[in-house]
Amino acid sequence: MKKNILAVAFLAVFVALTGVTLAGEKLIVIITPSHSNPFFKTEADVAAAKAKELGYAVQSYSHDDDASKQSNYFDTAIANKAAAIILDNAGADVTIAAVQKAKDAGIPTFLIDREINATGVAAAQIVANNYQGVQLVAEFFVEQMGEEGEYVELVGRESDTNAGVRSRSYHDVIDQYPDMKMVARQSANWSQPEAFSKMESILQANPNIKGVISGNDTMAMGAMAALKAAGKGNVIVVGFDGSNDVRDSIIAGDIKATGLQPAARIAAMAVEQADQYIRTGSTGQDEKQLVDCVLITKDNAAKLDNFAMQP
Amino acid sequence: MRLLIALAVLAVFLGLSTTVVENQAPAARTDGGIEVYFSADQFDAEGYVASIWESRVLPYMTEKAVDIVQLRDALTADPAAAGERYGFRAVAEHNPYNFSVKGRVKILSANVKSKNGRVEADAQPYDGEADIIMQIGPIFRGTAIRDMLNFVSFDDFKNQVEFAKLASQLNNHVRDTVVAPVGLPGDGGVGREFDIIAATTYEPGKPLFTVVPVVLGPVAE
Repeated sequence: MKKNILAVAFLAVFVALTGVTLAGEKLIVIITPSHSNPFFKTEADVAAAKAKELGYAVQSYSHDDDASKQSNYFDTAIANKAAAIILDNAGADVTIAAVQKAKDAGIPTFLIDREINATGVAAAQIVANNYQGVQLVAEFFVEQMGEEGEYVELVGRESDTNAGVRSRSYHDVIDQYPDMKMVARQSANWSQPEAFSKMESILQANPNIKGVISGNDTMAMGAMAALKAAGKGNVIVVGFDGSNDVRDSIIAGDIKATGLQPAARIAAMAVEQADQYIRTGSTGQDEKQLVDCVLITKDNAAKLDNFAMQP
Repeated sequence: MRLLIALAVLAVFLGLSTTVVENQAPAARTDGGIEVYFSADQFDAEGYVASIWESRVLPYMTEKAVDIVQLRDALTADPAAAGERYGFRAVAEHNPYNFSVKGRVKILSANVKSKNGRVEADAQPYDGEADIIMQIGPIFRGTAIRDMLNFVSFDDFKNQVEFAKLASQLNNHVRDTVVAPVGLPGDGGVGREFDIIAATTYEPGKPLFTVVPVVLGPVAE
């Protein structure tokens, strides 16, 4: 008995240290941005849980939005003979080569969250419909603003396609209203502290702003905190992602809305399709799959938990 | 001589096989006055929509169109079956069905104060109650027309921004060629009747379909 426990413990350590899997157990490698953002942590955790449930060994890495780090993890996955890679990528253009490299080694890549600017390289690209989700948030924002007033935009990290998609979508709605006036637009790189300090300085130059649109929830949290600190807690702030932090802020009456990206479901879908691909050679789906987002306001915020709507 | 032929063949080969690679700036670009982080200007949405509207969009929407009241009853009875039978969606998981609806409608009330102008309309058989909310612009929301088209695939687009441009341009096309010629938004046209074909994205729990018209035929009084 004791010997068995020892053997299992030894094996566990062996697998953990070397990444070499037990005979017959295929490997799925999960690569995402930094887990310090709960969005990426959730998708990595859900993908890992689903892969284990389907009988795979799992290795999970973070590329921290660094393309060369991402490329190294692809080399690791190839060296470890991964059966599939689940990837939230580090750049729409720079990632194409890495995914191609895996494909050439016979390893299919399943993209989640962010797409790449190429088709026919990845086995699937399962992407939250950021454009559609931000439209919902933007329409709500315009309503809350009464179709007029000064506002500020906080934009995400430049290398991330979704920063561009979301900004574009906000403006495709808001710019149609001539009395909506953007007075400042800055990148806060998805970061909460950066959004806080940027918002502080923007406020000094523009004390009369009525609203803030943010490319994601962490920046919305930073902006909201800066506004409250300046005694301007009534400014209309909207975010995007659907994090629990923003949910709580909406319930408390601070942030007004966010768009939920069904990140948990998308991560699970990617692993399910990877499993199907490994078993049958096809996902049975189009490569590029858009999954709709949900507008979260005080009316439905209570149902949101860990990037999914609870029944 | 042989060398010349070889060179000529080589030149022709190069000419045929070389594709023009556009010079992409690595960082910011300007698009419609807004800096975006990548280019989406290779796709000519206006030209594409103009080329498919009469030849593909209208015939398809006409063929797929279901009577408004009939669809509502079918969705009430069994949403999954009604979606399967009458609707379209490119990705099943997490996404709503889209439909093409048709019918004769009478405008009951209008909100033209908002730039996203909307009218509530009763569909035949008339009972004095609204059956649809019809967007009349000049701003249109949503992507119902694009998402109803089964011949348009996201796979064919470089990214979400290009794909979104298609949806916006379909709405713009409605604004300019469907709604404006019949004098809408104007005063909202309360009391007027139209024979319509329209796209809608199903919103479970909402009592009325919110539609974007692709055909608006005024009924002679």
